[in-house]
Amino acid sequence: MDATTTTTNGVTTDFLHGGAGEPTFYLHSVIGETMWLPFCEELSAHVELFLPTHPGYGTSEGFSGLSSVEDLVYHYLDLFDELDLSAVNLVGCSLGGWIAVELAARNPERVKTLVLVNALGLWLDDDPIGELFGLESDDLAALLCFRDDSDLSDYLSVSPGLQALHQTAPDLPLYNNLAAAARYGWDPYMHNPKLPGLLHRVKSPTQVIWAAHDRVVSPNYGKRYADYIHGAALQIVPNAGHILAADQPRALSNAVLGFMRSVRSS
Amino acid sequence: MPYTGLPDTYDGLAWVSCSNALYDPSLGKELYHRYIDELILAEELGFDGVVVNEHHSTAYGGMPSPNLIAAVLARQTSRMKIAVVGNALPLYNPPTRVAEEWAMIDVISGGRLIAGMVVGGGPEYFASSINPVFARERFREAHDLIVKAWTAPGPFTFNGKHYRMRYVNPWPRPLQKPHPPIWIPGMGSLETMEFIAAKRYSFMGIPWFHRSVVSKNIELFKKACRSQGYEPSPTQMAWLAPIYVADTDARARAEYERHFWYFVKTLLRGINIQPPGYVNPKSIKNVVLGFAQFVTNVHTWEDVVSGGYAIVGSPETVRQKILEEVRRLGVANLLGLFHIGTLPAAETRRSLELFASDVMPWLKERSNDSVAQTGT
Repeated sequence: MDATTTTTNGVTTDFLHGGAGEPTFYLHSVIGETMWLPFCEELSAHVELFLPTHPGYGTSEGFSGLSSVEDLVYHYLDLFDELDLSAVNLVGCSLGGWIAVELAARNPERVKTLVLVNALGLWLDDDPIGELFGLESDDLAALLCFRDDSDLSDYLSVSPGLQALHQTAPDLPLYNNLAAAARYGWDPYMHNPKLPGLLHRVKSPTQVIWAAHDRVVSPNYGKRYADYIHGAALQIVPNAGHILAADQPRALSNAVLGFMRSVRSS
Repeated sequence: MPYTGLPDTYDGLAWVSCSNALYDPSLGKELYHRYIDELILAEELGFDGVVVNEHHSTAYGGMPSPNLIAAVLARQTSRMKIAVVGNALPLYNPPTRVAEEWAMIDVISGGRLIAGMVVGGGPEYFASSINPVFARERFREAHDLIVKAWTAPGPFTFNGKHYRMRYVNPWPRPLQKPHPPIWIPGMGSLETMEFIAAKRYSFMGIPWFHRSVVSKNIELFKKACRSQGYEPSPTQMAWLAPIYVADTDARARAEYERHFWYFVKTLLRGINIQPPGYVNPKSIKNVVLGFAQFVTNVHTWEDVVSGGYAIVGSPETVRQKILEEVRRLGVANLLGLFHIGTLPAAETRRSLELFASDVMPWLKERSNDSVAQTGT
């Protein structure tokens, strides 16, 4: 695994990168799990995995002009161009799922397969998205994780490779990362009211993976995505909450790899 | 202008989530008239001015729109300054609304407005859905727009990142030239200090912190002025403190203490909620350290007294304490917060009268340009 930083259109992207095979991006959640964690090892045994840090998170720089998920979509399209990748597999969790699905809707030709994991981006009046902001850190952990022993602090560090590149790290990573989340999702709260009207444009094979106990976006959101996106299947993962990579890393990598295999063999 | 009618059993936050089903408008009517009377009394007693401020969705105070109270005072008083500290600029879109309302107040009052510009407290961003990440950018931009609207002939076009207006041309313009004095409070952000210093506006310390935090912030401000090449005059700085005066020290504490604790334990609960990105990540450590010395972390009266969280006592005690603090800080504007929590009207009035008769003249003799104002 290597740590890299690259600049496109004035915005830096930090990313970890490892493995060989089809280029596959994991787009991280609202809290910014940007470390090379066990599920990354599992995935990179089968694909070429890119784990970028969204602008605003971690040690990224040059993001002051970005304020919406649409901006992030064009940022990632710039990055694909920079890396000379014509089409990629996208796996996005939470905020990352929202970015992935908007990218797939706007530029379907750049997305080979799409996996949405506990994705933000939609809004259900009768099942509103849970409040992520203004919480004490214990309450936030209880909101985000199903398992009591899931330790978010592992997920919030900046990887040593990226710290070495920048020779710095944020004082308070959680505060820094939630500020980045708010930059894109404070209002409208963690969704794009126009997204339902774009989802018919998603053309790639799509799998919707949802944690049975997601307290931020309930499985009702997963059902809604599966309804909107043509041919998408919904898979529920038991004993897991919003940060699926923290609660059930093996189930996440198995579900992603299983879906990719099924696409290849079809 | 605190709401005094929360049920005794209420133990939730007083901010953002405190249901307005608990608000009784009949009690509200009594409270508004009482508090406005107290502000008008300040002029009769010889105070140089009064301060009103803006908070939303809270039992802490009844002034989501301080401009409305200032408008009442503009008409019902004739001499004292009316300091609105402040309007939370990022919450107004377009910000020319602030330029218009303040110009109206300045014109109606005959040029008595002090324009306090604030970013707004953390809870305001939950109450308004304005993105806290851009609070400081919006504040600067709204400030630029308002000052330009007051000083440059309209109509002109303003093209900012957050505000774009094709026809900026607010009527009326303010009476004071070039515009009403601008005051800006600060919690310790270096960026804010540098901004106030560069513009030569007045800096106001925020209450409810340990006296060491207040003096650290004043020192930061002086440093920021020096790096702009000038020494701030004492009139460019203000210190805000809760004050209560009674005949004796013992009586003052006996009358005041429980109302102070009601304010701290009930009405301040939730004021320090931190929305994401509201503080620059580079300053967040300092702000977190400051909040360790916030009054909600104080639990004994001895710590209230020694930390300077409130100035309470006989006229002599209050005189000496204020003089010591004003000299230590080097500030000329003293803002006294004379009503707090559930403090009843009779006690509030008596304290104001004693301060005006036995403290204020004594302090003014010892400081040529000392200005006393009453806050609420």
